Amino acid sequence: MNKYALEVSNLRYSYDRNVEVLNDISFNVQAGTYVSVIGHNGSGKSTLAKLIAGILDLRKGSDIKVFGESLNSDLFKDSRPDIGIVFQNPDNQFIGATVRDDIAFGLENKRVPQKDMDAIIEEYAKKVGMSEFLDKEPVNLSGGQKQRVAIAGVLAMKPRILLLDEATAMLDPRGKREIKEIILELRKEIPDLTIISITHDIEETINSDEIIVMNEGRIVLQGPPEVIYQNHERLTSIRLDLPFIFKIKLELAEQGIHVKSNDIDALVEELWP
Amino acid sequence: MAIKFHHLSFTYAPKSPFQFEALQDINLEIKDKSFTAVIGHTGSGKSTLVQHINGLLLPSDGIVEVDGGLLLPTKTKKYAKRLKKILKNKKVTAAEKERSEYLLSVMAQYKAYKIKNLRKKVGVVFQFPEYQLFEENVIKDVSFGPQNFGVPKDEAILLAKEALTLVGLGQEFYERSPFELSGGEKRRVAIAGILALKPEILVLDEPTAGLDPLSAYKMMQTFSEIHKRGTTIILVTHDMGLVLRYATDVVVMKNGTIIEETTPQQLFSNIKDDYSLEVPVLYEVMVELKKRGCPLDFTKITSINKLAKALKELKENSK
Amino acid sequence: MKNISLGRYIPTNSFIHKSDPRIKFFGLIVFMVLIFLKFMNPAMDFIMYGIYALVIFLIMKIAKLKVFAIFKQLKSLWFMMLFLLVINIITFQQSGGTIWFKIGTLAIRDIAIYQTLYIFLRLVLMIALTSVLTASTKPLDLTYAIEWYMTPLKVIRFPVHEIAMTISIALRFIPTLLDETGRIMRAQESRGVDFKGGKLREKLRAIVALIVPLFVSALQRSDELANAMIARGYDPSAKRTRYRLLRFTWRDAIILLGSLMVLTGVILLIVFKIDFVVVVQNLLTMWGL
Repeated sequence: MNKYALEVSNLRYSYDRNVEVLNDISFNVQAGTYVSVIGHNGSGKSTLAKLIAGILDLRKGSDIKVFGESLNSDLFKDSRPDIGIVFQNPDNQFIGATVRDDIAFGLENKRVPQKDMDAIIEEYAKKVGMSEFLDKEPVNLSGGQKQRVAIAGVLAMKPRILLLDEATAMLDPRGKREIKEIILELRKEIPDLTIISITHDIEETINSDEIIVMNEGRIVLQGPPEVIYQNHERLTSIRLDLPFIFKIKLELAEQGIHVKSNDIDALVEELWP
Repeated sequence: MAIKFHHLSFTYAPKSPFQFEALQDINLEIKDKSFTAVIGHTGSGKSTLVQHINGLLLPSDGIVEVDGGLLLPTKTKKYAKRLKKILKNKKVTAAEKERSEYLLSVMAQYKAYKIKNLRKKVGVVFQFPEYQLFEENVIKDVSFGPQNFGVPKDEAILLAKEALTLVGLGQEFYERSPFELSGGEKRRVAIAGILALKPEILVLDEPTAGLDPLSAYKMMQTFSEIHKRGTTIILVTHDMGLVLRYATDVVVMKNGTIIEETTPQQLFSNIKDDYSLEVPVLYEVMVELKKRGCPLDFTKITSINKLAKALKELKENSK
Repeated sequence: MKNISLGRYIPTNSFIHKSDPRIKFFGLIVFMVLIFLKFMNPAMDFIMYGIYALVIFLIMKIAKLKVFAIFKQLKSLWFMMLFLLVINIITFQQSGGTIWFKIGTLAIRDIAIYQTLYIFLRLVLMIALTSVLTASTKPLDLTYAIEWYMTPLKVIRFPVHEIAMTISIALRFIPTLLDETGRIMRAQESRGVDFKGGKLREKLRAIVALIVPLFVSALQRSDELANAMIARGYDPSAKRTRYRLLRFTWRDAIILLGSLMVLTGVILLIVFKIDFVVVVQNLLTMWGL
């Protein structure tokens, strides 16, 4: 099995002749890891997401390989069988009349036998905590709940990569928290799943294995969170922030108080034993 | 301009299977020229409440007093009749009679307000306001509002240009179609559309939702500036960081009622678990420190920097 | 805005609710045929309409629906009927039938009254039964039923599945679009737009301020939806399995049999020229009255 879930090489893209939205991007994502791609609105991350998702076509010279298979090949002509994509707008990806029907949609497309569908639907609804809502209509669900259903619907198709394209951008704080928690749960329940999260909210990157920071169509920083968060000034200069808890640690350090933990309770304990 | 809610109640879809009591007996005064944050869980009634300020919603019961006029559930005479009927009813509680009497006394002092006039004085920006854009170009869209209130075209365009400058959009944007702009730019055009009305009260419902940190900061600075120039600002938000930094007063709502009226500092030092708020990490830290007996005066701490310095001082003093 | 009574689904979990939508549809068609059959004389016609009304009343009761709620919707029909009556009276000034009475020079013939009544009764019966259908059947199930009936058209490459999918997605989005309309209206009202009153010019501006954002949003929505569907492997031309299956049960057998029996019975009445009025008169004479 290929150890790289995703291999992006020399990705270039522009919407019109003048502006290069993506300027020679290359990176790899190891299978089974959780990678966040972050950048301000306009950094090119949304274009990257669209290229991986197949909404935009790859230009000549650019390549994206999914588990060794190039997206340019015929296998990926119209769909992305190994990549499950959750988009930004909770309403505009909810197709079924109810939660059940929406999760079933992907199964119908995959030609799963009808008799097997209920079990799969119930299994994945449980994974995202929506078991009690199976017969609810989308108009009666919150944004966070709809996004959870989207994740269930996508995972029920058993992709090897889960791509979250700004999946929390339109959610309220509670919704964002729900999705954050689901991702942690999924990492335990489906350890082989590769998760790629595209976002502009730095708080969401805390739990990732690796962060890729983009600005003006290029990758400017890449590495594990602790390393990335050291670059406070650099991040601020490209309109990003530090996660709050790291800001606190930074300010405390400036006053000569050094704490190690990244968790509030542990942090407080260090401050006031 | 004063805003007062007297025994305001509001029910969505009354007498139908979808009936929902969104507001229950709200009594509140929003101070003139304040920067009041309205916070509470989703569904607590915040948006419903602020829609009563410009008459988008009329009370199911109770009175909204704004700019020396009243917004009533129905025509003045009809409502007065309804209240008087309650006073005559023997089966009604003393509290209800008191309420009706009070409302009648308010009605005796002021007249009903013409809603259309109110909409110019109270500007409301809803969440994700980009969807209201519809004109061919930016300048036309922003001047649409003033023109609806009788402002002649030329003057409206001037107001539009002023508003666009306020939100940081220059001349190069005037002739462009709003639909070509980026998300953040659309947001600013939509807000300019309301600022062009030069409202005395500005109601903002999650104005920074979905914006990146820098854009959000710039936007709040603009509102802060407008506030300093004398506009009353009412901010409905989940973002406690904003509340702390910009608000002078805080109203906490839960399940259709107001459970607290306070200031940002006092709020965070006493945060109770049942507010169902997403407390910013700073305050979570402070709350935990307080629980563990840390003797800092948290009402004075409004930023991470201040916390760090206070802790350092504490440690040095304890040596 | 959520309470549009355009034949809204009312869940009462009755016998009729649990029946297959395809059979209910069939029953409706049979009934439509029955309504348009004519008998030997007006008296017999009206008797049959009376019987149909009774049957529908019984069906409503079985479906546990409130009869009066449905008739409330017919209020607007009265005016139309009056208008139609006037037209018919004028039309049938010269031609046959007996004159009942005269208003000045205006001859009120029986034909005019009968024609109006026929149309009125047929409309009432149709609306009543259709309301039963929409009240007892979820819109999505109706779509499946229509899709099933259209299946033969696949032979001539008629896009049956695509149309059914389009309708079901549209249905799913109706509440969402209504919400959005409300939001846009509120935002524009806050900018001084008056959706209720105002001169013609203002009304036009108001409509534009509502329609343009709605359309823009709908276009963006459909684009995003299409991407989401493709991302989940949707291919309209490929084979797909189905989650929701329609299944015939004993209930449907009863409805089917019942409909066919009634249809046959009524046709026999016509073929054998049975006139109930005559039958009742004969019975009465038999019993010596």
